[in-house]
Amino acid sequence: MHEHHEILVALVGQPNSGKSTVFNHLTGLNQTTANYPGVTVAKKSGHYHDDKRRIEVVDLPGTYSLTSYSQEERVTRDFLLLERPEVVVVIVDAVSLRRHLYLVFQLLELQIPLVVCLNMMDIAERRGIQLNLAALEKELGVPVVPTVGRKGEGFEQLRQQINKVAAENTHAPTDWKIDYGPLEGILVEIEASLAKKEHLVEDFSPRWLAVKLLENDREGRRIIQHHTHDDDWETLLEQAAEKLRRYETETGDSPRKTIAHRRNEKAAAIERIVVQRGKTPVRNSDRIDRVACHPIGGLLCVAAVMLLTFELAFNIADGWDWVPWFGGWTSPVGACEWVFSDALPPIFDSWLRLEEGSDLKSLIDDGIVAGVGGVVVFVPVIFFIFLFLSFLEQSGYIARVVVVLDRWMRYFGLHGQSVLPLILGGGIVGGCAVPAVMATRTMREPRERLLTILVIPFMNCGAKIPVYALLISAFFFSYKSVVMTAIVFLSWSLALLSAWVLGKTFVRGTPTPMIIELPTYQVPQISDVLGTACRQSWWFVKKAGTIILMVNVFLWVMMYYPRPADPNTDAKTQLANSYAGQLGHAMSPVSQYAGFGWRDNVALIGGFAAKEVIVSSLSTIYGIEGADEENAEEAEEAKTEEVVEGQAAKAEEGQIAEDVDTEELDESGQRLAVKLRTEEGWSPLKAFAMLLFVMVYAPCFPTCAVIWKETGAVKYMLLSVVYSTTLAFVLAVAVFQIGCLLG
Amino acid sequence: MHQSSPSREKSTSFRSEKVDYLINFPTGEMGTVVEINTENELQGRLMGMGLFVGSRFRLIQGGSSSRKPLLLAVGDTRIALGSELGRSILVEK
Repeated sequence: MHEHHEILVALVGQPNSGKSTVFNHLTGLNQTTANYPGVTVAKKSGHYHDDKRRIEVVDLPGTYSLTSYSQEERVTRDFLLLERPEVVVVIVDAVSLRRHLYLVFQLLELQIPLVVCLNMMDIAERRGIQLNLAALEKELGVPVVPTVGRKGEGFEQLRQQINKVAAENTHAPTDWKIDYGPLEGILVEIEASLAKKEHLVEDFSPRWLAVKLLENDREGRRIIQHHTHDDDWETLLEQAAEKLRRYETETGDSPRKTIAHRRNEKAAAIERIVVQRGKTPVRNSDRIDRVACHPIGGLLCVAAVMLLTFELAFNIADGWDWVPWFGGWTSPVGACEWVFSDALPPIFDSWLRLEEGSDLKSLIDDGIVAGVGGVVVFVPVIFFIFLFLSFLEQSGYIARVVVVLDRWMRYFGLHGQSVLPLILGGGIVGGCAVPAVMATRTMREPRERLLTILVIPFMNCGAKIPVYALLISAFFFSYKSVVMTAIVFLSWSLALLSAWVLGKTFVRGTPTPMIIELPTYQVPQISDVLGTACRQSWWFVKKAGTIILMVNVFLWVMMYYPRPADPNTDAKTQLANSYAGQLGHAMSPVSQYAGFGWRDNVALIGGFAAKEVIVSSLSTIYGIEGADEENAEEAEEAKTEEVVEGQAAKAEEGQIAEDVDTEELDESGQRLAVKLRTEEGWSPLKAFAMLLFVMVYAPCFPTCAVIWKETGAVKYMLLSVVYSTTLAFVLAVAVFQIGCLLG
Repeated sequence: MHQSSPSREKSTSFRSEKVDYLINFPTGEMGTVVEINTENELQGRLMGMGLFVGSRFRLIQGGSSSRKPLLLAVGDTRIALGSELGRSILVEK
């Protein structure tokens, strides 16, 4: 799988060690993230070149240790043992060397070619912590490179050290070991019997395995079972277990405790030699946390931060004028819109010499350009939302959100760890259910994990935002941020209630407690924040370019064909008789209870493929009709009635267009918003029912696929689809019917 | 400022102060971890964060028998624990 690399480098480190910053500095923009491979945890990889070689860097998931059994930790360990990277770089936070040594020791015991990257040297310095690097190198027996990730210092040295270790190319065991004291006798015995297994020793260090057995590690036993080719692994494990029992009865202490104790002592000893501390000042971080983690103050902070994020993201992308004197397209959204609605179609028409009224022209203008444009227009919003989101993440605030919300999540059968996947899935606003569902892999408890997976689709992923933005612009413009905040709280409420309900019915078990590190608050790196926002937006564009385009063309076919036999058939009749129209009509006897007409049904069906499609197909469906009406008007000057009607409608549109704040939406977004406002059957009530339905109904195809893969059962995917669609329909019907009754 | 000095860790065994659950530990005080009764894998994670038998910590928030999440300062690390974990960790002053 790595046929092109010349050197394979793996980055390992605890969460919050600055690992991703190191990764970004090493590889720059040459990064790829495996989207959803299904089989393994998504891993980020990238590369850089030195004089002659290509160096492939894999950023393994952040992990506190290699002993516990979360999927991330297993992936990390399997990668190190089976992919055999030429160099493993472990990123260590210079500020808290001692606890990071815990992971370093485990890596050293794996007997892999290691380089220690001592990161955040600047913060250590600021806190009056001095480190004797030469002494640390001597103690660990591996090279130590100091870096300042935030300033990009030390990376040339790190590259050189990587080359040096790669050139030595030694997988040969080093003589570094921890003295496990009273356990050494047993360890040597087990090691000796393991060393006889050739297949095993090829891949694993016998001492490491022996330690694993003494720690009573399930994974250790599994490895021995799977990698010994003869059948005597049972005797081997039995002998080890016997020795364990004897040790326990003789000393009254469990080997696991002894091992942990010895490691701690070793770490403490190294710290004594290497680290010199000045006086620790009271940290601003702690001062902030007195409020940010306070049960009530913290909740208020979370709410305030969320509201501020929306306001800023929406207004910068779409509200405020960037270039006030430059007429039409002042905001980023306006610029995108102008490109796709005004600039591109004539270019394509003249370049491809498209004939007026031909199938091809319709395909390109109405199907492809309009469809992609309708999605790309929302890239600025997504970009700025992710800009703020990754800003919050890097500042360290997201961990505080988890702390504050944990107690409340617990009531619903979820826990603190559920919050992060939910946020990734769009818990604040924007995100994607696909990586969110995958992020639940860190949750070891199957019950909470399953519950979290099942309610993630209720969050407001990046693809639902365009739908909200459209409906809000059309019907709730004056209450924009209030409605957005209400949407977020509503989706959380539905998710939590559903978790509670599902936890009592389909998914059972006992909960696991929250354990989370609160990283020191820091000013985020602009380049990192920008990079994340760019990557997320690019991902969205790529998705828009592939799945959405395909779905859009498919929808265009559904709407454009069959062509009527009589070329003079008007557009309404044609659309009503198209495949899409037929399907939409067939569903309308049911959907009318929620206020949805057949055209809305068509868009919602498309949204099952990808939520992004809803807006573009709404604009195609309503757009096609409008465009053809206009053409008809121009072509046939007769039929006075229609012209009068058309003019009246146009005058009305014009007035409403003035009502709608022109700064907020670009021309075609405005056109669609205005279209919906004037369209018969559309009302704020119906828009609200639609909002609810889109929020809740079936997760998109890719999410379904990932749910299936992650839970390993079709039934949970079906449960998710059926449960959410039913709930969505019930809610929409309830809102619409009650609203109608109340007038 | 309370200083946690990790090197002092290992004189735990016979102390006169009473051992109690973390959940009952007074907020703002310094203490030492005496025993952690959780599953293996949770212990691995706690150790990776610097919390193991013998660690010195300061309880920033929670404790005093409240249901607030527990905030601990362990050296330069800040850890938040669900309050129910306060009943699995034995500590002393």
